Amino acid sequence: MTGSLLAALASGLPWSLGVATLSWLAGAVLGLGLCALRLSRVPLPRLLAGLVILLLRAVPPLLWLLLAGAVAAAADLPIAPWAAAVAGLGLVAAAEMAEIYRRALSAVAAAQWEAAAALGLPRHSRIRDVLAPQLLAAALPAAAGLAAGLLRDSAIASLLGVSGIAAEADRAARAGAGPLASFAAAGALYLVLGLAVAAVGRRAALHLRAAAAR
Amino acid sequence: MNLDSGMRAAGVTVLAREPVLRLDAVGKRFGALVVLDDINLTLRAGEVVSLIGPGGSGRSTLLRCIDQLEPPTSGRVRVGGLSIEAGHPPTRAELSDLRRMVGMVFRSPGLFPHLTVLRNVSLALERVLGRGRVEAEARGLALLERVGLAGRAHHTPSRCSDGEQQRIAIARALAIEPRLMLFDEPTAALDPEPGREVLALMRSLADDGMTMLVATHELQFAETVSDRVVVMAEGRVVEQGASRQVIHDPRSDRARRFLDAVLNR
Repeated sequence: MTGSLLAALASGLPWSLGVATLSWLAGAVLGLGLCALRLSRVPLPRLLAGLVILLLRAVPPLLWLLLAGAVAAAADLPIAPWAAAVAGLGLVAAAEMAEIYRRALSAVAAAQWEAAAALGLPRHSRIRDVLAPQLLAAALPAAAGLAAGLLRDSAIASLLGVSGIAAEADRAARAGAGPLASFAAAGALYLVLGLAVAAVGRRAALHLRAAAAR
Repeated sequence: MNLDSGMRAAGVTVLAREPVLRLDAVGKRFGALVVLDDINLTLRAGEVVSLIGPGGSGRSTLLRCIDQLEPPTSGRVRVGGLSIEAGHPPTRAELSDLRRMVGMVFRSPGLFPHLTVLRNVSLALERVLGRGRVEAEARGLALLERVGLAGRAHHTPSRCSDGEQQRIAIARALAIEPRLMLFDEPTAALDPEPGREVLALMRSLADDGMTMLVATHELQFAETVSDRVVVMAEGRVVEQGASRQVIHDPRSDRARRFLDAVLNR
């Protein structure tokens, strides 16, 4: 029984990881643009970006997922449930990543940027040698935390019919494994995966710092 | 002691030497606020000039205008053979040429905390002067020896004291072999002891013939190291002349008021 429960959960694992990873990547890219708009010197895009970020962060991810699914259905878009889930979670991730980038940028002192300009470092060197390593090292732990959160939130993608750890646990519970054992095992799996992602993020940040100093 | 320091010690005039910096009617406004008004100043090779004056007199802004960190709103800045006119932003190539000729040290060292001390110093040698990594690091190490911090080469800046960080910032600015060094209150944020170490380093640079424009509140440094002192107030030059004369016998009322207040006369 335990073996079949674990096999069921393992079959959902690629879906959960896939939805979380794609959402995170979408958030990392979209968040960069959102952050750039948020820091714009032009008031209108700055204001709009601020409102979008506020909206995306204020509404629960579950609602964004349901909205993404509803929009796809209403528009009769031939979009797979997993893609709707990635769209919903990716939007939430973009808002979070924009704020992570913004905080990381503010950690790089203006004095450094000015000193780099006064040294005559070309713009690409200022970004590659000065800004990017510090930005990545500062943003990675929080970005890893977000990845762990997305992995957790991927459970609600089952509402759109996406397979995953939670969906497989539900199926196993109904098939006779019992709700307690099934959901406890799924919870433990989410916990282990979340801790692993956070640890990888921390290690990557340390590695980046060491590599940049060389 | 090299030729320049010998000349300075012997009181030989520097007037015959070529100008490294020339400011013609430089002005800077932020909206309606006039921060610099009609600044005219010439520095010749090997000359050391101190800018003194009350807070808000525009000394930092003047240095930033020279290095084009702030674009002047009127006048002309000439460094070496390069001329930059207000209202005509320098091209990327001109800005690059300017920054190769001008080294700048700020009140805050602004070291890159993720890089080693050596990498802080050698980075511009690679990225600006196009030197190879090995050559750049050898030169960086020599510069760190010059400022007495070769032992810190492989540390990160956070392991260095405030005074050491400012000396590293000076080594970093020297890496591009500038013709002119701008110092913006480099000891203002330091305790007396590390401040003295930084001033001693600046004095030795002056002895080596470096052309320097120094915004400072260290009147002893201004008097003993500078060839000339320029007093600024409310964005204008209110007096300039030989260091000793300006500090001990200023002719303008505004300079006298400032110096009397500073020296408790």
